[in-house]
Amino acid sequence: MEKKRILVVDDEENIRILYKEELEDEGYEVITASDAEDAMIKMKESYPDLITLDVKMPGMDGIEFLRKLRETDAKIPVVMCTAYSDYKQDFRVWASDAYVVKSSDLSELRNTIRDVFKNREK
Amino acid sequence: MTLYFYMKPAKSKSHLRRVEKAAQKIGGVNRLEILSEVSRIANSSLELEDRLNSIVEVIVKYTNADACSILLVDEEGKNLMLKATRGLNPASINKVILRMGEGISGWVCQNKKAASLKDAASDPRFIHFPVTEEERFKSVLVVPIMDRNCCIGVIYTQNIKETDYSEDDIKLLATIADQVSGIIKNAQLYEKATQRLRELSMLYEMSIAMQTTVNLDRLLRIILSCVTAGGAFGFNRAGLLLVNEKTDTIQGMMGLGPDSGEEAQQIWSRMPHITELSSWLISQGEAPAKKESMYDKFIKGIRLPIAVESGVIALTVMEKKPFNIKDAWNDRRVNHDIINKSGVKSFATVPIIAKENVLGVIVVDNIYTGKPIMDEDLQTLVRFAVHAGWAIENSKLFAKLKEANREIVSAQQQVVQSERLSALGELAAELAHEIKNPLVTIGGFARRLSEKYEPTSEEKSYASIIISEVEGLERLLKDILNYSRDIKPNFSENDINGIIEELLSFYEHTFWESGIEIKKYMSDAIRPLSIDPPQIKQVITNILYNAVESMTGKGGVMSIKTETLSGEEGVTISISDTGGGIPSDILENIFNPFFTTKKYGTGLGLSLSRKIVESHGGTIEINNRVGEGATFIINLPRRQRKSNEQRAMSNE
Repeated sequence: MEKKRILVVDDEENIRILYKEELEDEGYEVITASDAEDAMIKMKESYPDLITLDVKMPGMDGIEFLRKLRETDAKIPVVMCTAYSDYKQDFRVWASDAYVVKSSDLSELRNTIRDVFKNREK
Repeated sequence: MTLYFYMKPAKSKSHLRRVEKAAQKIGGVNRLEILSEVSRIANSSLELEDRLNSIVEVIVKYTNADACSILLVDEEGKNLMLKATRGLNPASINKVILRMGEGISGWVCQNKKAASLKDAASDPRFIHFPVTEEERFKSVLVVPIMDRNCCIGVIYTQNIKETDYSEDDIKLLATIADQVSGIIKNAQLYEKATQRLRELSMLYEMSIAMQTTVNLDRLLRIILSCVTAGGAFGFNRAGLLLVNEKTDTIQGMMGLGPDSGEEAQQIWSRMPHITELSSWLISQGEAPAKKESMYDKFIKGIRLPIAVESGVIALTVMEKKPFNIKDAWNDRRVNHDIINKSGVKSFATVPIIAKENVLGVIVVDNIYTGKPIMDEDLQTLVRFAVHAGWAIENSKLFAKLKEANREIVSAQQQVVQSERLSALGELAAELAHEIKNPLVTIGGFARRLSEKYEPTSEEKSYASIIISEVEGLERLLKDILNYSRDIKPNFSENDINGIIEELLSFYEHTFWESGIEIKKYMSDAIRPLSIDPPQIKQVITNILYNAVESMTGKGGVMSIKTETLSGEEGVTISISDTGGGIPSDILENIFNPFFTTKKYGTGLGLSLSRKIVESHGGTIEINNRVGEGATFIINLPRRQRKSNEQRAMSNE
């Protein structure tokens, strides 16, 4: 079976490295983007199966990027990542498939991604 | 203060002329001299006693009487008492007492006629008083002292030799009696005036003392000290009751009075002079009673509805007038329960009136001296009660003002507090976000490192330290972010008792380990309440945790009580510990974010708890007993179903 491809969008380089290594260990192919603009380009190049999206980024933030994304591609699963937990109440993130509060323990992220893929296969 | 008392010449000119004529007719310069002497004495400013003494002196000197005494009728008009004498044993003064009609003097007084007896002892009316040593006197001449149609006393002259008294003798003595009548009347007026003056200066001194305070407790003590002070009203005991308009009852506030006759003696011996009254009263107000007297307790226990059935205290309020109860047991207006407890046969009540409203009642009695309460005293007390009423009214207004001011200050403090909190919250959120990402990478890579090392290697254990430290910091950040964001509870109907039981059983082991005994008082009447269960659990956990900490190492009792929130369908949860309470100097800080006395802790627990409870529309309070323990009281009201549904809809 072909590896699932994940696009990690985060403005922090070290976070990108951490997520990439962690998710590659999980058996995914990982590409990264440092901002919304970069992410648009990477999407067109490599057609990812899932996007992890940092909410707070300089320039276009994650929520705005999500809105744009849904205009063109309504299907691609998106997992929102943020430092805050109160975005759960923000109706704008409901357009995403899942929501993860950033933590040094990445098991929640891994589990969430696994669940999203599983739900999509049904 | 000296009072100059001017006496109008008692008689008009024409009358004087008549007297002079009479004197001349009696003959001799002597008689005129007597009258001018008497007149001079009448106009002197001596005390009544001294003047009467001078008069008997003059009579013996200028007439041929060998002894002369004056007997006066007492206030009640029942008895004649010897007040001055020349010739009889001075020890007789105030000792010789005759009832009206008794003895020769009594007869003269009753019949308003002079009596002259050649041989007094043989007269059937004669009564002998050994103390007078009057055996050597043979004849007597007695004339009444008249004031209008009333006999107010007699002049009693005696002679050793048997004497036939002439018409002239009788007339002279009667003329002197006329003058003496004037003296007595003036003296009575004088006494009344001094009495009035004394009363006024007393009221003045009391008024000064009462104006020194608006503190109700202090004021009441001053008022009651006025009523019981020996230099003032001098009642044995006094109690003060105030009207409670809300409940339409009259309530005992304070009682002042000794519990025994001995104690009373001690107190009375310390009474001040009237000129020092105000400063003494002020000092009384400042010094609270050393111990609660039985009487104070009794008065404080009185609580009566303002109705006729409640008896004379309520009647005093209703009829706005004083009552002087002379025979309490046989007086239908008296509540027998109250006299039973107070143990008095007679007492009096006076209304305290301000702005035409009865504010309360003063109750007085003389249980130890048994001195009857005079209506005149009561009148003075009524006048005093007006001053007291104004002072109490002022004190009440001041208390209202203070309360209003306190509310304003507290509202202001709340505004300042919430402004501080929101600024702090913003700062914290900003900071937390900046720290969050580096923490995730530090912790994340540490985990990756940890996985790569052998389980027993040193590197693995170093990585574990980094991981756990980072986890601690992340928890702290979560607390801060939780605190600084708005808490919007996710409401659902839940059984509060169930949630508490669940938490208690979860921490059962912790309680057991800390030697804490749990006492539960859960009400069955509590209906399911609309709450956010995880949030409420967090609140209760925080409080339980603090309670456990306060008792760690010493053990104790933790009581958890639920009851229906008074007047509402909500719930009140009280959690009490026996951990010694919160030191008063930190009490006001405990709800402040980041305030902690613990070595480990974010200091957000209680402040977050308050935020959560407030977001549920409730309140959280502390009943702190320094040295004993603290009780946290959480009041959660029932939420309006309608707004609940709206919220549910907007969440979909």
